[in-house]
Amino acid sequence: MKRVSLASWLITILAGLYFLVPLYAAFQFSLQMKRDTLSFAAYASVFQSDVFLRAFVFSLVASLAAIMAGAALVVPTAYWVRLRLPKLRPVVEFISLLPLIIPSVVLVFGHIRMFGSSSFLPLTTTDLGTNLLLVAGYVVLSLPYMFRAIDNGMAAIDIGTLTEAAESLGASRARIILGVIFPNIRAAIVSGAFLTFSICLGEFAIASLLNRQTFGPYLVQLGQDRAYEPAALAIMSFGLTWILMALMQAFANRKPGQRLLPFRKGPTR
Amino acid sequence: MSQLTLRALNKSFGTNAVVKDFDLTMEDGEFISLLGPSGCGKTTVLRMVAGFEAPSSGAIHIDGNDVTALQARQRQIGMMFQSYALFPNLTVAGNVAFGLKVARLPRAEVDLRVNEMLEMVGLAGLGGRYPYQLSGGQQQRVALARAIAPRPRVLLLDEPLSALDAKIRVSLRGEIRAIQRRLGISTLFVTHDQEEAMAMSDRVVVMAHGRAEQVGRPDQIYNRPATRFVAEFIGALNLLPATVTDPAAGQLDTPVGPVALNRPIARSAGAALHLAIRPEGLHILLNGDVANGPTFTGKVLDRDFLGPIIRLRTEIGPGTAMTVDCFNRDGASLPEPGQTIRLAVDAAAVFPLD
Ligand SMILES: Nc1ncnc2c1ncn2[C@@H]1O[C@H](COP(=O)(O)OP(=O)(O)OP(=O)(O)O)[C@@H](O)[C@H]1O
Ligand SMILES: [Mg+2]
Repeated sequence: MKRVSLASWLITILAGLYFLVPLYAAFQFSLQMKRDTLSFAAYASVFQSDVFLRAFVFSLVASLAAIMAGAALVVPTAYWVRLRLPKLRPVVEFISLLPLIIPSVVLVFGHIRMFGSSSFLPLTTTDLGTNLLLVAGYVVLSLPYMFRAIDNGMAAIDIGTLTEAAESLGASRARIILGVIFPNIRAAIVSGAFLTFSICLGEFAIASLLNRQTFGPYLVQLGQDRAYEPAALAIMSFGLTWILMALMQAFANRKPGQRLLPFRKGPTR
Repeated sequence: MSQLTLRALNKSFGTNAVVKDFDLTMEDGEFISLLGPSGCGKTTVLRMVAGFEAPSSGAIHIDGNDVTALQARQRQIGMMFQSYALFPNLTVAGNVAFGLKVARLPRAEVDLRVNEMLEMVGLAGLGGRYPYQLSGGQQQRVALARAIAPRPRVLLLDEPLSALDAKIRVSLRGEIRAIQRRLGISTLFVTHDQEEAMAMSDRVVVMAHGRAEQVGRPDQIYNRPATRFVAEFIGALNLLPATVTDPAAGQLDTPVGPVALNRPIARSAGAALHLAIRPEGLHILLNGDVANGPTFTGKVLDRDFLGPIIRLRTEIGPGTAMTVDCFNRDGASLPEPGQTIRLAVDAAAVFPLD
């Protein structure tokens, strides 16, 4: 018994070191921009760059758009499949997993061929059209995570009976989806959204082939041009990811009516 | 507040006929229970009335209007589910208000009605709670309030009490019935608990294999079951095989000797049937008692103490068992297992079955 727990401690510590040492090294390195002294100069330099801010904000907007489009696509689909077409669920699930099998380069070349300048719908010829393609690509990339998260969320509540209860009270389909299903799988949607966000933020292939100035290509470019700033950015991305994960947990564990922050109690009038 | 008519309803899932030629007319404000063994199609009938399943054939009318083709949300029906099915994201008040908001009632009226409903189900003051903060019984009360708040034309309940513990089940069924009477709302109630059906209903529909075997008041169902299935399903029953010897005089022959019912039997001489005798239709003859009806002599096999009554299993002939109920009176001497006793039958309580 004692030895087992010793071994597992050892493994945990080794795994922790494997993960933390490079992180610490990167952090240490990111502080050495100024000679002979530790400073946050690299971080300051990142934030002073207009290109960084533009790329980051653009990525932010694009991934938010992808999240909304993805949820609007996946929630009704998963709902309908669970409610009316349970036999099709394996098929839909398989389709949702395709982006994990097919490289995104293939996807974006498909986009460029389908919607290129000589096609019936030349989306790539305008900025707006190309942005739309980018968001569409993001939606596809996020499908495996979105579908899983939302489908699991629906498994956790009895959507069949809730739907019937709402129907017997006179609610229309749209009202049921918006007023009953959506709020009850909000935690699932939010966790899907955070996963989507972190994928979109780091995404490189689609953005660079569509020639969009997003965060992913910016990071790669920066890695070629600079020494200290990429390390600082990597550390900040880590921080952001952790914050997102913490938020995801908080959302997932929240009971209806509770505030996100535990020290402010929910209303129990 | 409405009349519900089901006419020749049929429902098949693939080749599996689940409901067959089901007819029922429910009067204004009536409380009717669908009672039957598991899988007999009770829920399916209810779901067809609600509009969640389409009948394979037949028609459903509410107040004379054909609603068979209407969607569930157009039928103005209130429904209570076994699993409560409250909306977890809404407060108690939000749940009760749901149907009212869908119907676009003015806000002041919604608030008023919500309070009225919560008061009625005994949950005044709990409007701000969420379903997960309530006990099962409280959740089902909310479900009742939610179902009746929009003043539905018909209330449908699918085993709403079976997830609750025995004590709450009995008290809540009384409350449901009282509220139903007060609002005069026509109610169809599904249960497989015969005591529940008997206690609550104006009329009971006993179902078997998708058919209505008998429709009647609880006392009719119990005292005069129309078929052998109903007789055996409701309450405890003794069946004694018999052959008619004189139909006009009500004379029969049984393996334990001749029996006289002293009333005509609608069968021909020589017909084989069963005599159905409820355990409470028999009583024990003490030494010196004189019976003015048929009697049996039997040996006590065992004795069950059921509280108000004591149930004896006796053997009145080779392989012929007879169950007898007697009242539990303190101090009364009860036959012990192994003892031989004489039983008298109340001939009026004996009814012939095939
Ligand atoms: N959607 C369905 N598809 C196929 N068969 C079904 C479906 N719903 C019900 N059945 C079948 O119909 C029959 C009757 O079911 P129903 O749920 O009406 O029974 P019930 O009387 O309510 O039983 P219980 O007391 O167990 O709830 C069952 O044999 C069941 O398997
Ligand atoms: Mg059922």
